[in-house]
Amino acid sequence: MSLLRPRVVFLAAFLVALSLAAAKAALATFVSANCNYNAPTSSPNMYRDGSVTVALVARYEGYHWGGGCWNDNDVDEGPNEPLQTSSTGGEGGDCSGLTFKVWRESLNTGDGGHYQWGRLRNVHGPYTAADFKAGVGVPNATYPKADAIVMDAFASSTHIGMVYQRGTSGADQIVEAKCEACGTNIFTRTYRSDSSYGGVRRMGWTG
Amino acid sequence: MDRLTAPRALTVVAAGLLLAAGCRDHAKPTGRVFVGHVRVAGVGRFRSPPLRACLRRFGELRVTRRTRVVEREGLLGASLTIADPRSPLLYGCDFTPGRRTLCGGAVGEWHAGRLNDPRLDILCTDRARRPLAVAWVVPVPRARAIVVRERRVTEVYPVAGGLPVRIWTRDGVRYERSSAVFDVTQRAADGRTLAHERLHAAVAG
Repeated sequence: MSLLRPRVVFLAAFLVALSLAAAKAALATFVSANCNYNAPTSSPNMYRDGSVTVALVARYEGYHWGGGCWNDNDVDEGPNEPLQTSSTGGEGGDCSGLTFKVWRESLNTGDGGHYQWGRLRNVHGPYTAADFKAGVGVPNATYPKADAIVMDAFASSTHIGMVYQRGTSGADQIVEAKCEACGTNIFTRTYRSDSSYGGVRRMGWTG
Repeated sequence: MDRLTAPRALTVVAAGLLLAAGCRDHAKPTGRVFVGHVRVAGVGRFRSPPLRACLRRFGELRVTRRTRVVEREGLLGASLTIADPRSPLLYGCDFTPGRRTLCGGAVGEWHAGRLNDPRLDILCTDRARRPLAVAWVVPVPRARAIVVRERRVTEVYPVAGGLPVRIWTRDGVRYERSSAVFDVTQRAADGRTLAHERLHAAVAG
């Protein structure tokens, strides 16, 4: 028994380690199980109502820090993720990832063309909310908040949301990927009158 | 095997797992070693052109005499890291080499020595227009230098100012995925390795 015991201990430790590693590998994330890295489709035109449709598909599909992939079943398949952790591969975009995809932008910041990304295409884009707020990149420009209309956006240094419906009493309906607990949805917001927010417009709308 | 005890067995397993995970010997430098320059400054009446550019970029940033600015100049680029004790936000501005052009920036949530995210920026490019990645790394206690290893050069970033260190990489950029990987080693004053990681950062927020 004294000769067998070390062997047994070693084998047990090895099996535990092996099973833990296998379990981790087997725990597929939403992104790893569903999403792709396909090329986008270039489009000559881009309409605000078309982008509204893209945003509405993302609605109810969850929120993921650094994310940009979702399906269309109105279920957040990556709920309760650790806050501000991009590696967990959950469903949904974050605020800037949602905006990038809805605004059909290119990964090339010097390209103002229109690119249709599949909803299961995992893409966030190179911009943060602060970048959008500063109008970084050819497609993006700062814009007077008072004149912002549907599918323009309001951005602070840490968040961006797009106008879904302009309000008349100081608040707008904003479509945004707000936070893990909030998900992606339409909310009533007063970003227009909030001095920490600036107006941003995606340039090149056809209509 | 007959003399193998339980602790030794676990050590063997752990070593095997580490090897399987691809842990490299990070003690060996790669190619040449470049030490970046760092300066910690307050904000006085004179504001340098990079600082003015950064303040224009982040219009809501209000600087006072208590505002700390860490200026860095390195091989791949230069940066400013700005913190004001009244604000929970940390601001970063990234410049092409020689602090010539503001090419990117970042805003992070900085509180009680913790940063919410590395705040990756992939908007800067080198002279050949290849993308560069810039991010913050928080020094561990007693760290005096952050070392980033690339294929051909190892860059040393002195820790300063009590703020996260803004580091650069060219090798580790994954532009299509808006992410980057930095090979980061943190060293104590006597050169000991305090921490080593492959920092995975993604553009977010």
